[in-house]
Amino acid sequence: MYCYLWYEKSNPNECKFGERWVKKGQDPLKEIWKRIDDSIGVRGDLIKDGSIELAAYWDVSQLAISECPNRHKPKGRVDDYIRGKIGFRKGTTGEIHTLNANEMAIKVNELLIRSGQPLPSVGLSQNQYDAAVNVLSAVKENKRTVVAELCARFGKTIWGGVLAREQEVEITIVASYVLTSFASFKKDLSSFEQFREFTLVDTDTNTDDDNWKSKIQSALDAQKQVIVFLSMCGGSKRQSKIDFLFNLKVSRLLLVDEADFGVHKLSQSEPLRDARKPDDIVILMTGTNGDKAASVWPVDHYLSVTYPELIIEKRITEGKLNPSANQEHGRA
Amino acid sequence: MAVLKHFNVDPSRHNLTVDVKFYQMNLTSVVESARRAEKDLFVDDGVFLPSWSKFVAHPTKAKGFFINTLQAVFEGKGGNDGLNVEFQTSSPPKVSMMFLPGSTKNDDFPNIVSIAQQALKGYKIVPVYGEKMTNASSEQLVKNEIEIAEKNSQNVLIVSAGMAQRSFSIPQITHLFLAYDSGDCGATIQKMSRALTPDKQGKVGHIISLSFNPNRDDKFDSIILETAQNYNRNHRISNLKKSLQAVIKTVDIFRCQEEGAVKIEIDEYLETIIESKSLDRVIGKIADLNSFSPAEIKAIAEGNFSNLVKARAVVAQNGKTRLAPTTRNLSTSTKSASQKDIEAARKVLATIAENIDVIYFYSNKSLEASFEEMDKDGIAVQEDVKAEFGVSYDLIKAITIGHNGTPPVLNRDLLDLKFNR
Repeated sequence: MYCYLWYEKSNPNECKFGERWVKKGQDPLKEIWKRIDDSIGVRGDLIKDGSIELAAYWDVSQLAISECPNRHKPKGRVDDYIRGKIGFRKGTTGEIHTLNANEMAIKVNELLIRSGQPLPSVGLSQNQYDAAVNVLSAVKENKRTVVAELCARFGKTIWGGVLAREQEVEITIVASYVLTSFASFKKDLSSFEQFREFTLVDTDTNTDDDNWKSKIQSALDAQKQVIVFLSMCGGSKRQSKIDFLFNLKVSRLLLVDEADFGVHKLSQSEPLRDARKPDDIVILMTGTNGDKAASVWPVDHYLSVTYPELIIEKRITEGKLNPSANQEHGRA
Repeated sequence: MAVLKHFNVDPSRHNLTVDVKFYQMNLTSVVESARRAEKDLFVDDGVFLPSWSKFVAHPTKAKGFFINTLQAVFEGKGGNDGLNVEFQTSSPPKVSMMFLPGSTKNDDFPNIVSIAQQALKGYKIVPVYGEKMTNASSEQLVKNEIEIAEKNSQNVLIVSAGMAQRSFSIPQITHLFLAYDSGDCGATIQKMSRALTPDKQGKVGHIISLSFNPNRDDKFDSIILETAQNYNRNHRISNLKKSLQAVIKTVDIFRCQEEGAVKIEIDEYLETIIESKSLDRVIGKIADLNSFSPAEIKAIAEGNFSNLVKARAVVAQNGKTRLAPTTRNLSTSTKSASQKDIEAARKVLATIAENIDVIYFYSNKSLEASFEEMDKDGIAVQEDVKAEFGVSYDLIKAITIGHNGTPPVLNRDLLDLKFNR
């Protein structure tokens, strides 16, 4: 049993959540698009012209079997079972949710994780893999402050999660001045099996201080890896949040997102720089201008991946470029 | 080599990467044509030097030039196919974005947009500017405008002077025009990336530099040379030219001509970046200053060798100065000075790179051999070098070949491209 989530690009704050029974041997994605096509009737043109975006889809069989076995059949309405737990339903019986598709996907991911449903595994691009190995090797050599200048479309949110998972740090703090980036982190870090044991905590959406603090503490007590989202926009509570997070006696990874934008300013970076402990790993992630990002940090390792490097890997995968033709000492 | 415990490579992920093609378009013909009607166009103090910043400073005065440019580029008017973007890219520009100079004033924007709309009647011009607009709101606004335009079968041209250069993802943008003279490499890369949001399978992002002087235009060179450096390092190749070859083979750069776009091959590319001094400018722009302390950067910026030696001694004693407690007390003004120093240091590095032939040809063997001979030949020749470069001989030597066991500041792989073609 599969569930899917789509929305119209012209109205990203409402989304449709539905289900599709996929038989053995069928391609789930194809079947889901068929179902969407059926459901929109004569407006199939919206699919053809790209107006409809499939935000996410999930195999929910395990959840259905364990929580609502009588629904685990064609047209069994597992989607209604899930939507009942999510809420934000438009009307009382509708299949539309009055929620941004990204947020809806995060809520479904969280529900599936709680229910024990296996999530899909995420594979990395060669560039992501190499960059992760590069940084983790540097960390092994006691490097602690890294500028990672990663081009557009590199996939830095998943990559940040890879570092947290592989390094097995107890707490990862994602700090950013650009708050929209938190939504991407939350979606990616809740979507895949490898991140299943992550507990995501937003210090901003929980206005009650004790709530997010106790959520972190409970997760740490349960030996889960905690990912905390910390807004670097100025505010009266920012410093107390930083103090709390950096005074926890745990292994820590700080991911500064869009490190050349806002957070590079002294007023933004100084509280973090002063709070970090000597063994904390700091990754200053930026698309460009690594030197700007690095200007106030004690940088001891630098990594850069440019967009043409992504194309080079694409060509290698397509068999159109042979790295060994140029290579002198084997592939890194 | 280390491997990851929980993750594998999924080659299908590479399919999500949008291909990119770079084009250099020469605007000389439209400038000449506009100057027939307006003789003092782009003339300041009697000097004729066309530039995008001059256009945005007086858009009404250069109205004819802008109209002719847009009509030539988007509608193929004026009889110069070298400017016809559909002909050059073999792809219709249904949704395009144009970045004007960052110096464009908000007050002048409505006028520029009105001229553009006058020029391109079949297009919907969507301006992205203004104090009330934010990056986030601009994305939604542009999406709505594109939807309306698509319903009316109109093409779209989004115009910005800097807003929406990051976190602005419109999959439909296929053509991206760089309509400014020069700028920060980082900002240029951010702008280019607006055409690289994935859309339908097979999408190609076309990046077009609208240039008054293609020989001075180095907008693409930073990204190409930096990629070559990374490729060189990651694939452990000893010769940068081989890496550059792999990059040029993968990322196409075209010169737009009347007969159609002509792909630039490696030898021509090398020749061009060396002859046009673009390589020297890029060496300065992308020099890795991350590994230097603020004091070292300041010394380079000031061309002060003795301060560089002192700063390096501190680094040798304390580890990186950046780690020293002094950095914890940086004031805001010190921080701004440091940004200024970085810029100034990059200029010094570019100047040294630009004139390095003077040193190389002293021995005609290698830079090391030349410095050795000049050391032997004494102060007179060293004074000549100082006069030529405007900075001390010792500083040039330290920056080029290193000093007392510290590595050179200039990227030797890039520098050596000049002598090992």
